[in-house]
Amino acid sequence: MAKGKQEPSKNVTPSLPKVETEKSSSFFKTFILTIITGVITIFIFSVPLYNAWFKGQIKGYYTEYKKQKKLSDIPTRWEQRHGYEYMIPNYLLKTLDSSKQVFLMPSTSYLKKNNISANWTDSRWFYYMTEKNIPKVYVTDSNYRSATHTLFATPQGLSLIELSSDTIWQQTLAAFK
Amino acid sequence: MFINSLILTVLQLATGLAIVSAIIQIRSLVLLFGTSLLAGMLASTLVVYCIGVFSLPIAWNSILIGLAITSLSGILVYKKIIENITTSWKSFKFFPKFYELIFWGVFAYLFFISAWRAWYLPVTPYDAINGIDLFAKFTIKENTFVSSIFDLKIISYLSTQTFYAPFTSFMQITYRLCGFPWGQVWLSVVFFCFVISAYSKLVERCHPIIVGLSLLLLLIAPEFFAYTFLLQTDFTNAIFFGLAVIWFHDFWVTDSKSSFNFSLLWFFAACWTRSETIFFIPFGSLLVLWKYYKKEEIKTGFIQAIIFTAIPGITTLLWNGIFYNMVFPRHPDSATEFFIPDYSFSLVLDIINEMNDVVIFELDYWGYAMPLFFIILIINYVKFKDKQSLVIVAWLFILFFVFMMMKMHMVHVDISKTFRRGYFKFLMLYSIYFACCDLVTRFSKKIWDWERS
Repeated sequence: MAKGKQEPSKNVTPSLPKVETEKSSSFFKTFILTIITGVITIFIFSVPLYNAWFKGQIKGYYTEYKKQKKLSDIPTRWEQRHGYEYMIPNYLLKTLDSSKQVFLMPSTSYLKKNNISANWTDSRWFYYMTEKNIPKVYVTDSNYRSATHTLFATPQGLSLIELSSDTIWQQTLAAFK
Repeated sequence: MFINSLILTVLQLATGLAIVSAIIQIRSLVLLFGTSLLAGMLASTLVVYCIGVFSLPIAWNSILIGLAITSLSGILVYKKIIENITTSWKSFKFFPKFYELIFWGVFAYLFFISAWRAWYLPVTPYDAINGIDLFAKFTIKENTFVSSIFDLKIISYLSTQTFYAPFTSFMQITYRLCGFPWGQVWLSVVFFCFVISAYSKLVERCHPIIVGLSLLLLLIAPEFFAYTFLLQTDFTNAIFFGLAVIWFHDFWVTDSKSSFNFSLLWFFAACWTRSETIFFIPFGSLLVLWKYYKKEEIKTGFIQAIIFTAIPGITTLLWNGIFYNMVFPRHPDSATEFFIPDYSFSLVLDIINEMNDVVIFELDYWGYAMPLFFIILIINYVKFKDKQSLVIVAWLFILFFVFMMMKMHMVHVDISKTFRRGYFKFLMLYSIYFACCDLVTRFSKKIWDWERS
């Protein structure tokens, strides 16, 4: 850049007024600005993308809260405070046989059918297994990250059994029932 | 847990207040509180780091004692602390404007959802379960960084997540030791401090309605909001990066040395949260050099540019240099992360196309912040020839270019994950641009003039 075109540095000092030093506004003008702000905010949340997202957040929050209430009557030492039963939803509890100390992980197709994210449920199982000291882990297929399973299973002395197909998983589930 | 977290917060605040006051004078009490607590959190991770380097036991008491000693550093700058508190207290307003309450209501609701989830739900992201949080849990369980996680039979199943930059895992250690079952509730503290800090800083130049809208667009970006309660390094990284650019812009506009130093603090913090951030910093040095070149102060420019890269670079030395070699029993070979591709124009185009298609133009992730940014950018530049806010645009170019180069040369960088979360920094800069550009500040002035006429 040519030196002659440079702006003197003093000119770049911001000259906008500070809020607190200015004369306060009238109630009427504040009221008008409040209405405008409210309308813009409502407008943003009514744009389809944000509308869907915001509703999803609200719905997600209340659904989770209701689940927690519903499942909180299952008494174990973690559940009531930290919602373990909430984190282990009913469909997973069905696969648990605490007397036999066996935990059966749902198959990929089972998750897909029930529209459940495998990523999300991974952690629930592991926390649950850690807490309950469940000695056996059954995995249906290689879609699960075997590194994760081995990582959590091996140090705790859990054995890892990979079931070869969804059919065998269904049979195993039936055996538990 | 309540008492522990109260003690922790007070010590962090005291330490942060000393750090902030040593660097800059702040006129807003809310801004002073927010930035001090963030700086204190940064300091508390450095305390954990020192405990590890000196092979002391990783326990709640050692962290508290370390932090208490650090907070005593305030004695050295007590006059500045008092000055900062008294100055900011004088301008403190108990009651915001009525229209500000609308934003604060929405922010409060978003914060409530986020904080509840961070407190209530376990750590769920894969990278955290297999790396950040796992490392924290083993460290706490065995009171040492040299835990059995580094046994070959375990570590061989892990990728590089265990060795991510330390801020997140050290915060996990601190907050888990504090008594929080999942640790990650500190994400909410960062979220809260950022919102109040950014708001208080940006309203110095811009009307609260515009600042509120800018931050609203940032916070309701679905992907960004999710990471306010999901444990990952990128959210905190974006927060620190955003604060750094806010004060860098301040330095750019006002020539303030203290703003320059304060931005350095946040760039340091950003590099401490995510190792790759250091690759962006040298390009920032070029901006510093350019600024001093325009002022015909080349020598000062060189010195400042070197300082600008050197200070954040300390994080790489502390973590990848000292901690990797002195503390970790084994660590990944950083050199194997890099490779030299077959350079071609089509390779560059492919990467850019993927970045655009998979991440940048994905409205479901980011909402309308990006298209709005381009509209404002064009109007702002064509109509008002605003050059000062171009420094924020320059940072956006730097981010884009460096991400592209990282994708081209690094093994573990992928666009759908690394760049998607790295894009938080872009989103942050869009919001800062909205509140700093000439078009908006002129409009702000008009609203103020009308309001007070």
